[in-house]
Amino acid sequence: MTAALRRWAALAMGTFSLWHPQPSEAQATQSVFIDIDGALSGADHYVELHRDTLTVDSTWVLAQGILEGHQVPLVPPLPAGVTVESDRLVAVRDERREVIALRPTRALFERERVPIRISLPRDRGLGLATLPIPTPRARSIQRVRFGRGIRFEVGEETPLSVAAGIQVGRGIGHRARRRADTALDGPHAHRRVGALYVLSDSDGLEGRLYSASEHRAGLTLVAAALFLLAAAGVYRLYRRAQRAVDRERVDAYLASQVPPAEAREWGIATSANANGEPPREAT
Amino acid sequence: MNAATFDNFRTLLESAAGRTPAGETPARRTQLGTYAALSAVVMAALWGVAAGSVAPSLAVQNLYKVPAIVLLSGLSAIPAGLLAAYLSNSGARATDLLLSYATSIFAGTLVMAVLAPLVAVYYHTSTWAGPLLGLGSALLGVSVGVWVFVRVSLHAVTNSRGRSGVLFAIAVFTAVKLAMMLQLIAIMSPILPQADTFDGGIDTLVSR
Repeated sequence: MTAALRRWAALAMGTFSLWHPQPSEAQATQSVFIDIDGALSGADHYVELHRDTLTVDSTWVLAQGILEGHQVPLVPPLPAGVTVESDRLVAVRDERREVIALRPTRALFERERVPIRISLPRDRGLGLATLPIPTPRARSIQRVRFGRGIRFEVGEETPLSVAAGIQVGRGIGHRARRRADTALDGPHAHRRVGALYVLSDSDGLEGRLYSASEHRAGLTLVAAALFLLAAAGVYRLYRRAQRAVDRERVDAYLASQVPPAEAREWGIATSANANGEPPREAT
Repeated sequence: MNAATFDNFRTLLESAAGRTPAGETPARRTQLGTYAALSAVVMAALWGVAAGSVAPSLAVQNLYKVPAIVLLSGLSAIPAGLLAAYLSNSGARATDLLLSYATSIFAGTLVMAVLAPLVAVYYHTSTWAGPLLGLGSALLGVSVGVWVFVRVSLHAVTNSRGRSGVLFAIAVFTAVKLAMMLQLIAIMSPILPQADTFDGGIDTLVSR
């Protein structure tokens, strides 16, 4: 099917869908998933940890339209217990309640931006071994960003190279990443410092999610220990300087009381010189 | 407060007011500098207790949190500041620059300490003026500190080339200190009873 035909079909299906609204949460079907390889320009996922929930605000940017009723398989599936919110897609679950696909409630058009919100309980989210981002089975760049409430430590199995504030997965060149950024953010896309760029992978993005506040609590203890050390160091320096100043004052007093020749004989420092250098002891 | 402590306090106060004592030996400058740092720790703790007085646990935590922010951010800026002074050929002695820096921190925390009772009372009696005064007094302390740093440092320099070098060093000192302070606040937060702009460090200042 050519691109033009697909567009017309999508438009027709979209119009038709206006008369036949879909249920908000679909059940798994036996239908064969369409392979939407190449149908996604890119996806952005913003992960944040809240008081009780972990949320992922995702945006898919479609390279090609998707017909209504076709299912978009997710790799890997989203774990059971997640809630999927989207005005254009509904979750398709298997018997284990995992979200294995998303199904458009209407036809989706080329270059359309599709927002999806994934949320799951905080403890469940933090215990996952794979980042719960809705990744379609399509060769596309997934850009993952993290809010200030959460940190993600990428697993050793995922090779990422660090490039000036971003981490880029294997197989993503500079131009491809720029294209994905442009597709997601428009022509004035800027570098998203702190973001991860990975290709969609059937194993998902493995790693460890942890709370930034818990991480900060650990840092607070380190800072407190450093503070105690620093304060003790400054106090010690103060005591040493105080003793040196006391010696200088005694020397200055004695030097004022005895003649210079006798002061030298007794090893008394005469005075500070004009440059403010320390008094030198007479030999 | 014994006579030596009072003498140090008075000397620092006069120095902050622009009456820098002349002919101090390096030992004396070190003594004044370290005394200024230790005084800043105590005064920062006083402000911290006042700012967190609405919640007793916060007040107790602020006893070490605010002094830690002041001291660690202050110490972290010293290597960069001294390097900037050296590379800019300012001609200023390291001990003079460090004493000016310590005096500025002393002055800044002194401003916070004298406003501490006001901060505490307003936090207990007003829902909008308390937070305003809490954050405002801290910002005022930082501003006064920078102003004193510029004044005391320039006092010791006479030639224009040295002056620009010292100003560059002051800028580096201040920038590194503020940058470190911002992230230390993020690590140590909460410090004020209410959430504020600086709680999340640089991430909250830069939009998503």
